[in-house]
Amino acid sequence: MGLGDNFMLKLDETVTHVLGQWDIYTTGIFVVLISVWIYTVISSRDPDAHPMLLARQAQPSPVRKEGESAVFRSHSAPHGIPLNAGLNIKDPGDSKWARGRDGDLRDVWRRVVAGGLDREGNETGEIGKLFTVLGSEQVIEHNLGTRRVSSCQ
Amino acid sequence: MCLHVNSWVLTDIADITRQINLIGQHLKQNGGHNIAIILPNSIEFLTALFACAFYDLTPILAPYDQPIEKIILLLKRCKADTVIAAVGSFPFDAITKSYPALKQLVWVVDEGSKHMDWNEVPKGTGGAVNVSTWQEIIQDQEPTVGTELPPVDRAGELRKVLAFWPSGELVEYTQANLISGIAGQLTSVPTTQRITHADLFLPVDSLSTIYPLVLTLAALYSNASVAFNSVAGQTSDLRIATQGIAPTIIVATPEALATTHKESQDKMSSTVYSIVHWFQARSLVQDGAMPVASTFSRMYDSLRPIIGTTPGKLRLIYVAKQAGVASTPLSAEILSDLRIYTGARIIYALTAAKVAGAVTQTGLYDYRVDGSEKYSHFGAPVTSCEILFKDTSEHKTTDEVSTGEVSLEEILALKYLLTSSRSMPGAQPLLAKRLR
Repeated sequence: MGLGDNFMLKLDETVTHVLGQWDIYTTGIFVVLISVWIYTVISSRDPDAHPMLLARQAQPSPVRKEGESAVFRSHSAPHGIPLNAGLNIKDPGDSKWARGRDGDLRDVWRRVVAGGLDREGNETGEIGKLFTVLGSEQVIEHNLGTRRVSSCQ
Repeated sequence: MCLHVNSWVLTDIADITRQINLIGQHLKQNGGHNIAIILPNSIEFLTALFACAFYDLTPILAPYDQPIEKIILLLKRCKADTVIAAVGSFPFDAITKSYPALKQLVWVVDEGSKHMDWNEVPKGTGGAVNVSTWQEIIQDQEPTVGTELPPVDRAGELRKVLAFWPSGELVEYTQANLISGIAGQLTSVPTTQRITHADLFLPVDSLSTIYPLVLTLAALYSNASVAFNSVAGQTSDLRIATQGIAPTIIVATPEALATTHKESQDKMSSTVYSIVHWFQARSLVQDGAMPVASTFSRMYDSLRPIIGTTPGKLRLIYVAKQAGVASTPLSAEILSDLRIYTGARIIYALTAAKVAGAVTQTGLYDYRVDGSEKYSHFGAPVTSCEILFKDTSEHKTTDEVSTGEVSLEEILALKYLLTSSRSMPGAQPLLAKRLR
């Protein structure tokens, strides 16, 4: 009898021993284990953001001054490039590759009038709507006590 | 008596452009320079702001619904010569007597009192004040007049926008300031979650506060639909403020969110629900994913806070802590609970008087709960902002820990904040402590 045969015999005995004792409780435990495993597989979801990203949300500058901390910035505006200070507005005729203007308040309304832009900067004609909500169950007493709030029309 | 009409009015963009032109021209012709806008959230508020931008006037965003003494005090501080106000929101006599510098007054008349002649100046008072109503300025012109925006003049210096911080401080925002705030808000959320054309944005906080205003402008620039409700900023009941529409994004006050949390917590206090809640909280905090609706969680849908007419539409709530202003603290636990109750993600921002928009804000996907501190963590700086901390006697930066004092400094047109918050987990409580 070689070493391998002896091992196979032991293995056979062990398996028979375990399976021979299989009863209703074993089935119960087995079902519970499988259910837990299936539930974990089904319910497990990828996190919305990688935990590493959550742990390091800001980017410190490599050096700092005495008496001050490092300068922290958003990952979307890393050190070495200017902060995101404008709307990058390109007027008709501007080069596609040039950096756009920062813009001012007028450009916000012009965009509302002109509608949305797609990734290439072409107008999509998607114009937002502006609503005024009227009507409310609650009457709010005005501090002068003489006038209803204008939502109660 | 007030009729219960859950309805909304859609205003044509071209019509607002015309109003911008006519109001801007009217204010300018009558010698207006500093225009105080004392209005609730409304199309007129927005129109007045843009009229000032297009016609080279300085808009002053004054808080609405203040006592007359306070209004006069504010007007004196900002040297306003023109007031645009909701009709009847303060007595005309009182303002002309105590504020002689007033040159013109534009009443915005609501539908209910249109039939009254608000132009009539009481005899013996305010002869020098040019009184008109918004509706008259618009209706007196031919429908074809003022449909084109004025040509762009890039040479002229842009006027500042003035606003009051809750402490009473008058803050001047350059337009570059506001624009960088808007740009920061547009780019500080992940690409897939940005405000789009499909969104309906509702400010539930007053637009005279700079943070909701910047977010509203960002929504407008993103071509989202925007709704205005005049009770915004005056009620802390989100249900009332969102009646009749189904917003996808709102900006609310911490008070309103704390009230919503309290009410929902009281309603949803059964033992069975707390098991469902535990599973959903686990999904948020352990798995880092928004909980999905299950058979068990749907059983409690009727008890969830009602924000808008269509449940499940709301996807994002903005809320801000104003630095140095006493307000209801929102802890990480409260924010986590609110994410479960409302099914919407929450961005908690830190704002400062001299910064338009936010200084720092929590990541959209950041659902972590960090102990039992009074304020939740405030996240990383927005893309238009960088922060550093200056040492104080108590807090000194070492090679391991960044800490220091909150102070503010403005360099160039951009926004720099010197503060004691590390944007890393663990140190945010320090910021919360020092801001109280």
